[in-house]
Amino acid sequence: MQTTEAIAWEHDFETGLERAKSEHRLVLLDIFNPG
Amino acid sequence: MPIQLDNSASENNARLHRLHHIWTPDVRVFNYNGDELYRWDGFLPPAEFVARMLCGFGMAELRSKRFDRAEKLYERVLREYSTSYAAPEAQYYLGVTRYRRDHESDELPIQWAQLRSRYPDSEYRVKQSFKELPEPAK
Repeated sequence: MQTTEAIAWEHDFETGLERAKSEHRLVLLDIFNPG
Repeated sequence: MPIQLDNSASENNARLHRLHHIWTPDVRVFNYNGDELYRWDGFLPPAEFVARMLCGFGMAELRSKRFDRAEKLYERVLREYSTSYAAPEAQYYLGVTRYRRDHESDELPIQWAQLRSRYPDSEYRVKQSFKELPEPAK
């Protein structure tokens, strides 16, 4: 059975970029409006 | 690495100004150096979103010259999301990816012929239409 893994979003751009660098990953940025 | 920024939060204003943000959802793919490699605006339903996201990662890998990774992403779009709006882009860049990996390869005309056949009304068919022009008279 295929399971869905919850995504842990980072909410600080610089922190996310640093994590991406340490893990050698690409970054997916979602800019949203909560309204 | 997924990052979300709320465009109504004042602490994000400076960052969003530097990103020239104008509309939501605003989705982008960066490398870890902060270079933007792909973007799109506007809502997409889940299957269209996934197909577009795979194309975005495919382009990021292609621009980073990681051709094998790009190829797998574009192949996945064509295998799993062949009727999506992103599929013609995947077909177009699958040919580009294989050509850039091996300039001796026939994959560019092969994939673009597939594009003409499978997605004749797409913008990406137009982008390869110079290949449809008659050869100039000698």
